Amino acid sequence: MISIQNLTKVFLLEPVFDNYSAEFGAQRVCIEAANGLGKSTLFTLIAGIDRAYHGKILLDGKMHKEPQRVVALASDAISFPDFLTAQQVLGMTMKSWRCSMPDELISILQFSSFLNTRICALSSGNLKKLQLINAIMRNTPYLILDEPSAALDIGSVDKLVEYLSTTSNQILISCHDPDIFMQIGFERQPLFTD
Amino acid sequence: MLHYYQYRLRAFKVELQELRKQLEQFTLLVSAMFFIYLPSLVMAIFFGLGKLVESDSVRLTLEVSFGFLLMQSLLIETVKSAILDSARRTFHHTLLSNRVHKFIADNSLLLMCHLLFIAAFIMAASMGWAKLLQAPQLLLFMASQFILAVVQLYRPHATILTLCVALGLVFVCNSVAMYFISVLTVMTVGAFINPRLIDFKVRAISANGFWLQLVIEKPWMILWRLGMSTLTYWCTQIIVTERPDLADYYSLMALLFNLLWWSSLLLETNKQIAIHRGFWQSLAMLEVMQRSQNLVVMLCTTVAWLIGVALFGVSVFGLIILLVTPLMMLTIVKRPKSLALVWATLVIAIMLSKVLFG
Repeated sequence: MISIQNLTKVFLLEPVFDNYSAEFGAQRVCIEAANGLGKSTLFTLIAGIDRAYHGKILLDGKMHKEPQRVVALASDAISFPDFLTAQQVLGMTMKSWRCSMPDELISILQFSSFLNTRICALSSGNLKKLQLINAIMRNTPYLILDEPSAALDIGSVDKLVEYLSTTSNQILISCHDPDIFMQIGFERQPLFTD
Repeated sequence: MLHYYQYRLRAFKVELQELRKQLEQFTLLVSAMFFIYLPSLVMAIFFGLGKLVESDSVRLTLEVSFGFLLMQSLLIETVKSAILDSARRTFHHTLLSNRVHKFIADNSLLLMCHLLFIAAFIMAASMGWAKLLQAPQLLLFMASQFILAVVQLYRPHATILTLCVALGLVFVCNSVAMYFISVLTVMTVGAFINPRLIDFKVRAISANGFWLQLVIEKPWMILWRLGMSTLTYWCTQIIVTERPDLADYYSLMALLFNLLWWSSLLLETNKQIAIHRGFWQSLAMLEVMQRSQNLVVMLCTTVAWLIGVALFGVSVFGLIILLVTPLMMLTIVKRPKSLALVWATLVIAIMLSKVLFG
């Protein structure tokens, strides 16, 4: 359960969230909102990537000093160093979080042949795959996927959905074409209730 | 195709303006502090070229040639992205059906800002054809200058190789013509070496491993500073030999410039932390990276300082320069725009103290 209480986040004097409160209690949630309303920002706040905010973000009722220990995020907001290879990026995640190389997921998403490719040379679809692998491999209690199907080919989306259906962590996604995710139990929840 | 050339010139001017804006405060302060030396600097270039044309010592001619080639590489590296319009390189292909125009534009812009080549050209023109034939080394030097600059645009790894070989040859060669022919050969061979052959990947990336990989991918980050330090120390040694009575002041100035070159490495490392802040946060490594960049920069600055001290001797004021390094580093991290101001203040404070109490 992810609970947001009285969240205020301002970007260059413009509030993205002004005293915003919400609860994401379902096991699999698809957050819906139009472009530019703050879905990605909210995700970076929940994942502890951005700490500049007022308010409370509770994970199972607890405030975490380092939320990134329990939340993994796949998002364009996390830009990988473009001169490293995909393997080197995954290697850093393995070292930081003491997890193992997700060989199965890499093979499912047909990413093996791109492991030695530099980030700057990855296509947008492969960069998205790397983001997903990098987050999912950590096996955290909370997993947030920002637009997981964007730039992926249909086959890869099917395989991703199939893989996600076997996981037990709470998953939050944002997606503008969520039908396929609904089939594995994702519940739609608008970002703003009114 | 005129529209393409007009576009390239405009893009070049815009990027140079951007560069000028970035260096505005620094240029202003340095010009204000050293304006008295600026005419001497221009004269020193022609004096150096003169040594190249007419010198009894082959070794001196080779040293001067290497110094010029190194200096031009450092200058061109600074404006290379403006010359090539690197950020919009793919856009060029949408305008062109023939790549020839791109090369013509690249090389015309290169010639426009290749100040040391222009200086050599002015010298050659003023000498006249008859005298020039009596000093063929100047023509060979100019050919090396131009080809090295072109190589630097398209095959940067070959430039590094050429400079390394050119430095080595200074101590081995006993003929000026042979030196330039060897340098030109290395450039040509280097241009055909596939850069992938010297591709190296750090197997397990840690905080320090990341910086190592960054240096491998962007070697000019370190090479530029290495070159600047070499030129600074070399020039200082020449001046100190000529004016031993002012040795203490010039050696301090060399150490201060050295402090500027190496502490400014933080501008580039800190950029890596800022751009990938989210990535480091996601790995809970933000603080580790911040600490490690300070360590790496401090280490580099100290090593360069030690070389300076080994060359010119240690003094209390030299030690103070090392002690104020953390202050410079803190300024760069917290307020990078104040870098020039803080450095200039340090220069004035230390030099004034030296005059008053030294």
